[in-house]
Amino acid sequence: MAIVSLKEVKKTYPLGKTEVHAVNGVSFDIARGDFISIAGPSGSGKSTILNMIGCIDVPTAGTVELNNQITSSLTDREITELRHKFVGFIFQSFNLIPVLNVYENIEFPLLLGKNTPELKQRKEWTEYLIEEVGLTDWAKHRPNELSGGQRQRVAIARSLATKPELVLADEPTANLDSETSEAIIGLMKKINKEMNTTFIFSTHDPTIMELAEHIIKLKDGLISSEYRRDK
Amino acid sequence: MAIIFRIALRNLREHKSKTLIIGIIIAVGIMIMTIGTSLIDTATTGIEKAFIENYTGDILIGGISENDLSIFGVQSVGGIEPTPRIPEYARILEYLDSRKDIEVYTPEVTSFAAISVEGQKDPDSRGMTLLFGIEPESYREMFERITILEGKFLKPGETGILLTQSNREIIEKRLELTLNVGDSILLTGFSDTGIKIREVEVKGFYRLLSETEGVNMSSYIDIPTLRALKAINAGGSNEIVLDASQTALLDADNFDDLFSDDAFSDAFAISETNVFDDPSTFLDPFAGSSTENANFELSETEVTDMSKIETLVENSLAISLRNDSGSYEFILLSLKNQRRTNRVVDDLNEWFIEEGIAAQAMDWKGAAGPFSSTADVIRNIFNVAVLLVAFVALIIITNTLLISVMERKKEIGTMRAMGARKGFVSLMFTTEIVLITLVFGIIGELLGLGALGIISLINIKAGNTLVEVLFAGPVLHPVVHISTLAINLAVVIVIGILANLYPVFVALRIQPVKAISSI
Repeated sequence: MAIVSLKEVKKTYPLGKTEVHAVNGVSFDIARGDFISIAGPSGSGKSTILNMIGCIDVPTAGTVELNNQITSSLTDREITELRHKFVGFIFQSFNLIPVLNVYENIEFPLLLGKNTPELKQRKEWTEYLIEEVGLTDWAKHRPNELSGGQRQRVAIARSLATKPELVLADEPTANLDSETSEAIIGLMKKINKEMNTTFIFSTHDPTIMELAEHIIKLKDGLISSEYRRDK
Repeated sequence: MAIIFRIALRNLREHKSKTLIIGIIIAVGIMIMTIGTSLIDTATTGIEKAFIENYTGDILIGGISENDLSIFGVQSVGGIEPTPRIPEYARILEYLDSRKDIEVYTPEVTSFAAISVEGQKDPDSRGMTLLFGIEPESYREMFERITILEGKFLKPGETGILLTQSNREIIEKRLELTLNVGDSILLTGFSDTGIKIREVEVKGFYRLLSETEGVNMSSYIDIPTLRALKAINAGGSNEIVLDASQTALLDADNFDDLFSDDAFSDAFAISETNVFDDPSTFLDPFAGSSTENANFELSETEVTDMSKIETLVENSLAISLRNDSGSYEFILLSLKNQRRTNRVVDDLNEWFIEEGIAAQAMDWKGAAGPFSSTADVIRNIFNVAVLLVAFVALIIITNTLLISVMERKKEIGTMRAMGARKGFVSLMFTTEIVLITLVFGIIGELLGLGALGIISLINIKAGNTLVEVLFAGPVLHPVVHISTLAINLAVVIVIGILANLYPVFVALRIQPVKAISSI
């Protein structure tokens, strides 16, 4: 059953007197537990598609269904709640909160919802995630004291804090060296297997792209190819 | 909430320069406010103290008038509105006696009069005075701070006037003469029935502590003389027993007989000289009224003894003053506990309404009339200045916060993407500004208190009586009310929150996608 479904999705941005067609009618389904790479050169529409799936942007035309809910029909409050419960984000520039340390950054999403878990539960889960991403010794450090790879690990752990079914990673390796990039994708893959969390990540790096099991290639806002690799 | 507080606190530390810009504006602003409000509070306290201890007591009871009533009469525009008399005086006194929170009370009549002296160089020159018609015993008990510089205070039933030393000097200069105890002066009173002139003996000169400029032209005078000046007719119900010779006066066939020298000498056995030597003997015993019987029946022996006559007249007047009805304009009250003033005023006004008595009670501010507004005027001018400064500060703070919001678009966008509601973002920025205003507000208040401490140590002396009142004493020792400090802090916090409104509005309009893509 599809966890994400895009039907004839288009996204147009105004640019002065002209319009930029970032996405030109894209349709695809993503099944629960998938580990997908959306690949393509810069300007192909990767980030736009991820943003629309993550409900932080709305399509100009077409529908995005997330967990069987058409996102464009939801109110701002409902979308916020859906994002909080259902989606985890990993950003290219990590986007960690600079004034919070590693532990606090990972714990942060747990404090945003209506039903905040008890302190003990929060602590156990946060420490588990820190251990999973191998940052136990760095728990009290601020983001500016960490390397790029470490920051992205924090971002991965943070994206999993609310136990979302879907994690969206927009070029998670763009700011990392190749060795670290592979390690990060490896970590995501490990969590995908352990927690059955669906991962969608965008990349323009063919090496990284090939690490995914389901690959969607974009060109000029359209799907140029889509295929699955053997697990 | 803890996470919001943590993020806010750390953000303030992280963005030191912006925090300092806003903080310094707030600290300096609240420091000025602390010093300013303290000096105004000092002046208010001084004026309040001067009036309560010198003129009004804690509470003033007066009649009902169309315009505002104060101890100086009715403040009417373009004419003289007579000061209303207190109705049902005896019932009011009875009620006041039944209350345990009243220390002492005293009745009063007030009026303005021109002063002249027979034989003055320029016959057209006049001095002016504000006359307080008083009952000496209870008045002195209430206002203990009167310092008699020369002569003596009025005795119960005695006629005469006491002038302030400052007014004595003004009159002496204007009339080009020297005033001494025992001199007679002419008072010209103005009332709705015309002009009245009375000659009255100067009994003494006094000084009040912390006199208020303008009110220092006041004088104390016996009530009967003042009533005569104001043409007040006092109602009464005395039962007076007349002897045969007095009855004979009433039987006079014509006015010539009634006012003949024989008639006077027969009735009172007082020589013409005595009458003019001692005006008290000239007082009309019928002017007073009493619910008790005053004994005016004089034996032949007593008639020949002037001192006994005076004593009898004084006693009868003293009794009548306590029991007069409809012939007083004010009753001044001193409370055992000043903090209960508002409560007692409310009680009294409720009682007046319940009993259908056309009277009103007011605190010193109402009683002092235009004088009480002096501090309010200064405070209003100060508040307008503060408002202008606050407006400028508001713009600077808003601008600084707006820059902070724009710099933190990424952080806001990330939070929103992760599921932070708009309320969370709004609360985060509000917490930051409240923290800044609170911390720097307290620092500013401490600096202000330090400055006030230095002012207090310098011992700035008052140069004249007005400044003395504004200083609440001969040396400036600013007073600081905790409530004022709390209000100032609250005002600054509100200014901070207002300054934060637009930046928060901008922050809430930041879409997560814009924030992320702007990196």
